[in-house]
Amino acid sequence: MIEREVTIINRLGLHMRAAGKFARMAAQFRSSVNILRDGLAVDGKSIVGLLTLAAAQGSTLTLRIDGADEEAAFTALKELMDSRFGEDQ
Amino acid sequence: MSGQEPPSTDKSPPRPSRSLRGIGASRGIAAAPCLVLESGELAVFRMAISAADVDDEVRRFRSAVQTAGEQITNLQEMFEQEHRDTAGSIFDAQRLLLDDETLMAGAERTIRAQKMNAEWALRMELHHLTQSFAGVPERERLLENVDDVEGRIQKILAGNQHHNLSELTEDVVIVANKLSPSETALLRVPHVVGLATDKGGPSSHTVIVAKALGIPAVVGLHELSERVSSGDLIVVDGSRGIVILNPTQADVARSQTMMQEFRRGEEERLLALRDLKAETLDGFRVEIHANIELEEQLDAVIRYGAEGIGLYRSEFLFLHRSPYLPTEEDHYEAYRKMATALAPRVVTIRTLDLGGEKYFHAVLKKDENNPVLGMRAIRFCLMNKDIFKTQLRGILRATLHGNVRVMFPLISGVEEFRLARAVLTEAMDELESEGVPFDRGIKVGLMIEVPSAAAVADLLAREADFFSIGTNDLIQYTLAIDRSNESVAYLYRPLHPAIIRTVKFTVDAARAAGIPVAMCGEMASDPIIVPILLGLGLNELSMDAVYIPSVKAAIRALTAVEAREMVEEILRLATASEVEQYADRRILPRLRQAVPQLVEGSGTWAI
Repeated sequence: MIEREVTIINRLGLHMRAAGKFARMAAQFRSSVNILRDGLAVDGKSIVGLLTLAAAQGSTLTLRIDGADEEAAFTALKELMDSRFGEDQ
Repeated sequence: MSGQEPPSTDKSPPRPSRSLRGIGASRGIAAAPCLVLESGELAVFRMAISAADVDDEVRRFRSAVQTAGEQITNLQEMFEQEHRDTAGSIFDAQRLLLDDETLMAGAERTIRAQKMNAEWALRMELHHLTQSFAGVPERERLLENVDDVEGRIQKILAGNQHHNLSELTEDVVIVANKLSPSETALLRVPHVVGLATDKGGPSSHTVIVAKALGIPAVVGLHELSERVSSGDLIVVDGSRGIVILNPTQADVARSQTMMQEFRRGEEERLLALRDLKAETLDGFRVEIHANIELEEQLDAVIRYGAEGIGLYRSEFLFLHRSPYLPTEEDHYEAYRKMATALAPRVVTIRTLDLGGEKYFHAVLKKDENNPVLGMRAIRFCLMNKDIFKTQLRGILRATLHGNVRVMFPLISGVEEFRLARAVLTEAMDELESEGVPFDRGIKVGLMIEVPSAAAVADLLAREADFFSIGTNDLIQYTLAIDRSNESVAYLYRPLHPAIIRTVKFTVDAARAAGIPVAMCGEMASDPIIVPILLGLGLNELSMDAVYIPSVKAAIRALTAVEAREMVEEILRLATASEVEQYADRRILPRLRQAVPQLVEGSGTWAI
């Protein structure tokens, strides 16, 4: 199991479309993906879970990934967030 | 649809015809049986189920979710063929919700743990979910989608087939409490001839679609959907903002004639005007321009004989991409295409007019108490110079491909105009230093739509290259009417003497300074008002393309001299009602032959 902190850097934060991309990406891996924030844990494969985090730009989240492909999953998800979910800013 | 005949002993008189006033949202008139779309809020009850039935109930739930997914896929395909730009954003969110295992597994757990019916389990799960959405970006849009998805699943569970309007074989008027985004998408079928809803202001998504389709719509009718049943005959008069229940034969005949004329014969006849100039009998020339928002409308602009584009609403470039913003290339490409297609005709691009009562984008703040008076349009652009300058650079680059001019919306005075112009100059200097070619001689104008700008029109006229009077906002701000507010919409009177005087002052100021003055609000598209505008001395009128033939016909039926005489008389009248009566008594008869579809009361057109 890996547990690492990540930061949301796109301007709009984890909005509907960004959360959708995250959930789709997470669902491609066999590992379980959970996101922890302020004691709340949500399923990273669920758009509604992600949205309830209401993570704005600058929020720090903990990714907890557990399974055979956990490293690959982390790398892919981190890349998605660092690329601002493909948004301009 | 044909109900039981009432017992013949009681020969009750026919129910009286009755008209309801709403907000006219898309012009035209239609008479047809109505089709009442149930609102998404189906009555959902809690029912206990036996332990033995739990597995079946879960299967029933899962299969409904799957069917809903298939429906969305079909809808998406259907819609994508017609409108590739917006399809993704409307349906993607619903797809994601339906695919969401946390959500669906949650409902399944509830069915199993509490031994309750699928309908109630879904309702509980979604209720729980939406509670936790406080603070989520784009919350309203999300909730709209959640409602839509729930409504769809509930209907399937209840055994109701979702309305499939494309199977209609006869004309109908759609009546609904309100329409969800996916229902609105369904309106793009041949037999939907009108639209009437209980809720909604004149700028909701539904209305934008109705206008684009050219079908009459009236919104804000309160409890209409409860007062009529599918199959009842109804008249929707979007021009006057009324709906007639139990219409008399005369009502129906009149509206059918008008509808047919409007749609076919008249349109054909008026299309013949396409290549004729908009010129009065005594040789006064008015330029007729079109208002557009989508590239797809360019064909209509040419077909109806517009001499240019008087208002390009650039908001749609932004809305389609929300939450993203258009890049400089997006802007440039859109403007280049228009300029090229219409050259040498003029293309007037209004810079971003986001906010206020319409046009939401993720970049806007949601929590303004009074958005119409808030951070919108040019105010927003001056606060977000990067967004503004990106657009201006795109516009400037397009100047090489045709006759492009630019105007700023919602300018409140000279200072704001100078600030906006300064950003334009910055954009020019940047492009120049980068060696990007453009035409520095671009004409720079502004919208006169805030009363304070109209009051200093003489000062603005010294600095601007042209004016364009935006009557929708000007009326709203001058008369202090929120026209999306159903309770006060009746006060929205284009022919209020205050409006006529404000327009007069603006036109006089522009003419004294020798700059052209246009009108691009909806007032400019009303043939009965056009003689007044002519008499006031406007040089250009810009409107949705479909109205061009009627307006041209009206102009060609008059002399400028008589129009000026009419204005002199009108300026002596004290109330909006007096001016409206004057229009009905004096102007209408003059135009009846040229524009036969005109009816009395047009001066009270709500929009």
